[in-house]
Amino acid sequence: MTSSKGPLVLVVDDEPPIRQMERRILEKAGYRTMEASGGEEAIAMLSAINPDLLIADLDMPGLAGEEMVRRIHVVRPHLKVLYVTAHIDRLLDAQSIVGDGEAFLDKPFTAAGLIEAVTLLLTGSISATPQTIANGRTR
Amino acid sequence: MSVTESTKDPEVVHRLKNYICIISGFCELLISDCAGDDPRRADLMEIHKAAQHAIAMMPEVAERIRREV
Repeated sequence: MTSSKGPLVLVVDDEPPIRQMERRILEKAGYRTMEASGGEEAIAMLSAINPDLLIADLDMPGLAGEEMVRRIHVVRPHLKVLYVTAHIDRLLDAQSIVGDGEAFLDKPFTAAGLIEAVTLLLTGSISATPQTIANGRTR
Repeated sequence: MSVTESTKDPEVVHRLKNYICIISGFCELLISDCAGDDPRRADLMEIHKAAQHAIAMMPEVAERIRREV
């Protein structure tokens, strides 16, 4: 079920099938989604949209995930971020960049794992639904 | 090569994980769209099970590739 009122998630990944899969999983769970194929595109989109959460692939060509988020946080310091990566070893390297409102998800992940991570970041609870999140927005 | 570099997953492992993620993820989406009595459901479950086995094998595969690289 796609909710027109659910929280908006911006999915940024250079792999089209990964973007489509993440969007379909999240939309089934009631989230609204948009997508960008890279960091520059995501930054440009943020002048027109106000997502509740950003899903950022760490391993993108061009503007990498960490640098994209660093630039975005200059103008949107409270935007929550879920980093996804197929390089589990990079989790250790990148731990220093993880702050409040940020988390990591290792690829390959399950649909349930993705939904749990997004919901936890947005609410602090895995039992919340996109509808209750939308109704009780704190920002 | 530094110790840190030698323990990093090779690029081929990164690509493998992406492919398995795509297979497993779309499979889960299709299963969730299937009614309980849909005959395709069993086939999809087999694909999903194989993807989960592949995921479980990834650390060993990564280690073997890392040694060869």
